[in-house]
Amino acid sequence: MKNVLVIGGGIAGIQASLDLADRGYTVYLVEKKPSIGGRMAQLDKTFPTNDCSICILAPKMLECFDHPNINVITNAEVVGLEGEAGNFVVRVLKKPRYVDEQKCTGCGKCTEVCRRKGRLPDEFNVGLSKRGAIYIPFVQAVPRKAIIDEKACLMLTKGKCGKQSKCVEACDLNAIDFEQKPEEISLNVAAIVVATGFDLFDPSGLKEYGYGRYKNVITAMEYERLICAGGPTGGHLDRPSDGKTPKNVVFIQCVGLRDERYYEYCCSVCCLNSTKSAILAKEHYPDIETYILYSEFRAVGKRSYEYIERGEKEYGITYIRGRPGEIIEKEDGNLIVWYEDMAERKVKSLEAELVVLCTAPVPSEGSKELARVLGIEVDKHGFFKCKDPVLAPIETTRDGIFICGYAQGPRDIPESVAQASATAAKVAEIVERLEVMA
Amino acid sequence: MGMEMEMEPEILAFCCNWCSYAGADLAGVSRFHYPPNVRIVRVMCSGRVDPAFVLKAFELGFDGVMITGCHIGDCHYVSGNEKAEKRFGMLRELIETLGIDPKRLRLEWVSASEGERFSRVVEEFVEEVKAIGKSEIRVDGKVKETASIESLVYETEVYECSECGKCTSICQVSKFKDFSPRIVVGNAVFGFEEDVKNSVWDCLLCEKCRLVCPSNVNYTEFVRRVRKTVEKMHCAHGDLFFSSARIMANSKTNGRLRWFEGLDVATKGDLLYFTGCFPLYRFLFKDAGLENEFYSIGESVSKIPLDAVFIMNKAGIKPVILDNEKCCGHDLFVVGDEENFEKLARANINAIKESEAERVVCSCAECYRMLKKEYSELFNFDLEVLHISELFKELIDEGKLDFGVVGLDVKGKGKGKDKSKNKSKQDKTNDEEEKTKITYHDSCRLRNLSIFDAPRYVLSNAGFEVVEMKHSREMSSCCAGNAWVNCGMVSKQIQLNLIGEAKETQAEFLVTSCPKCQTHLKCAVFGSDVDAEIKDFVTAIADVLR
Ligand SMILES: Cc1cc2nc3c(=O)[nH]c(=O)nc-3n(C[C@H](O)[C@H](O)[C@H](O)COP(=O)(O)OP(=O)(O)OC[C@H]3O[C@@H](n4cnc5c(N)ncnc54)[C@H](O)[C@@H]3O)c2cc1C
Ligand code: SF4
Ligand code: SF4
Ligand code: SF4
Ligand code: SF4
Ligand code: SF4
Repeated sequence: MKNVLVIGGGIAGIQASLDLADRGYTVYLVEKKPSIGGRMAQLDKTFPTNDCSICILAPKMLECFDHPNINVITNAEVVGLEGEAGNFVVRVLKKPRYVDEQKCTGCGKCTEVCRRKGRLPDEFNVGLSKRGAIYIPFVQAVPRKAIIDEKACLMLTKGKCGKQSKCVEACDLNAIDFEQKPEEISLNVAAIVVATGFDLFDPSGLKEYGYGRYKNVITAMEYERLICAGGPTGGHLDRPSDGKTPKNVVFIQCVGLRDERYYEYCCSVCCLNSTKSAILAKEHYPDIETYILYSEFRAVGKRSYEYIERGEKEYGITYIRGRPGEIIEKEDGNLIVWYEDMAERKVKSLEAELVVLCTAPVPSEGSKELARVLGIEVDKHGFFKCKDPVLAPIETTRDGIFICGYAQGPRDIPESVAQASATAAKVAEIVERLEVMA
Repeated sequence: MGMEMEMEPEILAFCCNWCSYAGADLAGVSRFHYPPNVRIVRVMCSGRVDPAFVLKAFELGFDGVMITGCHIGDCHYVSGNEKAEKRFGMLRELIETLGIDPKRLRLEWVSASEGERFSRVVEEFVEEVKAIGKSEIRVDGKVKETASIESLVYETEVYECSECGKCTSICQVSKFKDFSPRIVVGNAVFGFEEDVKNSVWDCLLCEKCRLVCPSNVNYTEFVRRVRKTVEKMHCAHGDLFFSSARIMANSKTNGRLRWFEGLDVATKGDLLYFTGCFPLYRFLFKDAGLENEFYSIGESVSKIPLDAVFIMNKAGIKPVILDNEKCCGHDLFVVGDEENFEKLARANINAIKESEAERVVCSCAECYRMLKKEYSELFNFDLEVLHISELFKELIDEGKLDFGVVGLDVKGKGKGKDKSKNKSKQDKTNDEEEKTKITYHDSCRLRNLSIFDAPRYVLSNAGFEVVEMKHSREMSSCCAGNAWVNCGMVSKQIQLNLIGEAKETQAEFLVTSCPKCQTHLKCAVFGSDVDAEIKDFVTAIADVLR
């Protein structure tokens, strides 16, 4: 049997699926969200090359979806597992979209007329824009199909949406189907790859930074969406309080990271990411001032140090060693950031017009539950545990189940891709060995 | 004890330069015999004898203290002796509550020509003190802890510091003076012991830095432990508060029940109210006999416990009061006098246990902190400890505390708003007009135990509109006067900053739950040209009920 299950359709899951499919394996790619793409789809550019993230990712997403050997199952989760390596039986719960995937062309007409249009936070834009109850996750979504939010749709929550549901009226193809029910699919696979990536930490617990209280304190992911031409502001850095373009931006590193109160590990991406973000700000607004307040700069890996040097010398980013202790909001929405300048051993303050918190990427929500279902383990932070951190980094504590990408631990895109390919190769090797033995 | 024949009391006499000292001198020159038990301290005027001097004498172990001055009308500074007389009355009352027989303190007028009278009063006093017996109080101020800074670094694990600077940039002291908790830790780790010892008294021990430290560095505990190893710091107000706490640690206190005359209190029961010491310091700031605004500080902080019992009575509660309650020991603990802190804590715990109470409620933020945290962590005190705002919240929810405020749901649950929604527009504006805007200051000791919501809940149920300062809840400011050791220019600036933030909110007054915050903030206000009203949380609630 040459069937493999991949859980999580981020860049790691996509890469592993493609590699296995190209080797002739049948891949079931189960993705929790309505579209594959993962976090990389939300990024504007990617360090260290400053490529447009979605531009390099979208072709892979489509290739994956269209691959004859890959079955992409979106809006679905793994709920049960039996058997053993070489012969697992997986139960997958596919939640209803309330839109017939076969009929829907993703024209978007329904989304324009929904009675709840503009009322609900858009997850893809991390709440910076609003969507309706029926929506298409994002322009380049794969599959590009509408989905109805069952917790918000009037028809699904109240049983009635005016005289006639607007979306039904709008859809020429009769794709909307309120009768869809959750569906359980049973899959027989030889091996499993877990690539569930990460979620974003809510920094409102760090009262010293006032996230949630101060409008102009945002997270790095919010920044990605703001600076992205495809984002809610069309790439204008309009600060939340008044839509003004900030004269300066202060990036605060390690928020909730390298912090014993929250997560002790280093996320391994924010140092470079902030440099990228500051470069992007400079590219959009040459006169903008950018400050990066860091604990220690961790620019490991190929081209990373050069990247930072470029940030400093070519773009004039100001790097200051010192983690701010408090932020105070002024009447006009500007923020006084207090920090100790380590080089000068002096307490100083900066008046920032926009503050970006480089918040911790944390293990995906539901990782513990998934580990329970799969019979594998998580480490103290909640990342999946590997069999041996040094010599078996992509194998989990259970035979036949593998991990790659951020789900295993902090890493950037190139590393996630490399690890995904490595995992695919390992899976292929092990499955073949099992076949021979059987 | 009093019957011991050999007992030779040690007496300290404060003699004014112009009359009594001259009188004592004359007694000597004239070879009048008087007992050798007296040590004389010459002061320029009996009015110069600060209550703190008297308490210090008792703390150090003197069996009797005598203040002597010129006869009324003869004072070389017109009325110094009148002030001494006023103060004497207050002092006797104070020492009695501290557990010292008031007869151990004596005031006498002796003129320069009354050498014989001097020897007579001394003789009489010595006899009287002999009859009472030796004082059981004798506190030496010697440093007992000899732990090295290096060992404290290991014990408190401050070497975990990752040198990020968060602590220094949130520290209020660092904003006004060249002080950095990060550097204190760094100096300790690198072994610059003197630098560490020199900076431990700059810290307010407000614990704000600990809240933000990503490495969980127990900075404040480290500083507190270092304080144990250095020469004891003296507090403002002539060490009066430390002396008084150390005396209580070594004496048999009593008399707190008397404070509550006219109110309903008990000696046994379920709920015990831990009063705190502030009624002892009624005369604080007025001991100089000057009629000025500082007067009101002592008055307003000392009535907090009375207001608290008044409210409890209104809600049908008759709280237990310990007649022999002692200082909770907060200040001694933070300056590192653990020996006397432990004595206080153990005595209080025993007394509480004897009362058969099941729950203890505190209105003073520092008492609350000590009972809730240190008593339980260090001495296994296991009763439930409540802050008074939590008790009031409970009483409101049970319908026992009713403010009769129009338009407010007394049962609370935050329904006040919904109700006004249903009302006509006019009613609504009326309601809003009636509400007094206030701002609430979260004192450090309540902040660090996360008492945020209960006081606000109670205040808004009592009909106040609570508006927030820039620094509130977890980020609240410190009143900069912890354990009375930090008073100075930096503290004043921090205090005025806090007042400034309160004024920005346009609140009618500032509410705090810590009598010390109130004291320090009022002191800063009175000493400046800003005008601001500050009230205790309990008093603000009691005033609504009156
Ligand atoms: C603000 C920010 C900026 C960044 N910028 C860069 C950059 O410029 N360059 C760079 O190289 N790296 C960057 N990174 C890092 C990069 O995002 C990650 O390395 C990369 O996304 C990891 O890919 P992944 O597939 O492992 O995880 P993800 O992208 O998180 O994908 C995981 C997928 O699994 C799905 N999933 C989760 N749980 C389940 C489940 N139980 N069942 C089914 N599916 C599930 C998720 O919905 C998601 O689609 C950045 C990170 C952040 C936070
Ligand atoms: S459901 Fe219908 S209207 Fe909506 S996107 Fe699909 S095809 Fe278009
Ligand atoms: S039924 Fe109504 S609320 Fe639901 S998606 Fe359609 S238009 Fe929106
Ligand atoms: S990568 Fe940089 S910002 Fe991110 S946790 Fe590590 S040191 Fe902090
Ligand atoms: S906040 Fe903590 S880790 Fe940072 S410098 Fe201060 S003590 Fe060290
Ligand atoms: S305890 Fe308070 S005063 Fe002391 S260093 Fe920390 S923040 Fe500063």
